[in-house]
Amino acid sequence: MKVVEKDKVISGMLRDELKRCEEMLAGLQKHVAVLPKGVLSERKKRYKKKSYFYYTLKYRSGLKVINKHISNDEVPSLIKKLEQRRKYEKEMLAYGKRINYLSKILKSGKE
Amino acid sequence: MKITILHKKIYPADVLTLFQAFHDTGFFQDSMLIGSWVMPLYREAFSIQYALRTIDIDFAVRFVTADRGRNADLESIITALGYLPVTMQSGIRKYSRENFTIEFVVTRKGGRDDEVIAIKKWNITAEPLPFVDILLDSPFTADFGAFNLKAPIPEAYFIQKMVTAPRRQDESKKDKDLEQCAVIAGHVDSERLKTVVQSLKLSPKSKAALRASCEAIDFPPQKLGLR
Repeated sequence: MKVVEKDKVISGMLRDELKRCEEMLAGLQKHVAVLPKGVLSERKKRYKKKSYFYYTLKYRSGLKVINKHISNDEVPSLIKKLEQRRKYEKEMLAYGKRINYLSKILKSGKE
Repeated sequence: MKITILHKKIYPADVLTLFQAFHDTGFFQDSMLIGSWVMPLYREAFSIQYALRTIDIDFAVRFVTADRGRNADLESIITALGYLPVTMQSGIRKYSRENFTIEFVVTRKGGRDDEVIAIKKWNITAEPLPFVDILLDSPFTADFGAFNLKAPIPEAYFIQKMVTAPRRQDESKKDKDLEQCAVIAGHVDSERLKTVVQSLKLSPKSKAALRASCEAIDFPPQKLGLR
């Protein structure tokens, strides 16, 4: 990466970009930390010839898999939050890739 | 000054959509696009060739304490376009989408060291930075047909970078500022430059900064009214 090595402006911009991506990733992680994780699923239960539906949120906590009952009232807001989390995680993934890419360029520029 | 932009594709389609949405709220009446994203406009309107561009899209916002004009929830508009709000450690909110980030800056008032300024009129937060008013006070309008976009004239951008570059603690940012100045220097209009300089009240410290930048890029300080 001779360009990075030689051009102070380009290498400076790449370093700034790396720092910016790291700061953004930290910000995104903070948002994700307060959003619920897991998969919402609908379950069916039969009782005295009648069928009942209820929702559970399935998520991992350490080595355990938790199935948490969710009341019908909570479902719409939970779906929204889970969708929000998915979007943040997708964005985090993009920043992670970019950080790896920029780190590689800057590292090879030093070599 | 209004300049018609013939080649609309100087910006990605998503970014044009963002500008259009901002225009529709009236945002560009007193605010503008700044930072390296003005460079495609300069290339198109003033033949200034500078290819490097960061991926954060910066906007300078004029701070008003009381505003009877129309208000708009810019955050809702930005998030509706698929950007995610991200609160940084300083408390400032930026907006991110596929590695693009939107940021707002506002003029930092002397003697204040706030990290974040809330702009209630637009429901956003902005980072206070010095000398942003140099840009806001000298705008030009880029006419894209379907909408107008405001940006600082190159002479104001040039002066703002020349004043701020020597104050930068980060050497790479200083080099980037001076490199941009060196490119713009060959295209500045002396009359417009004179008007921008005359509109400023520069402190001795700022004049010294301007002299240092002039020396660094080999630009005659006399053109800025300096001895």
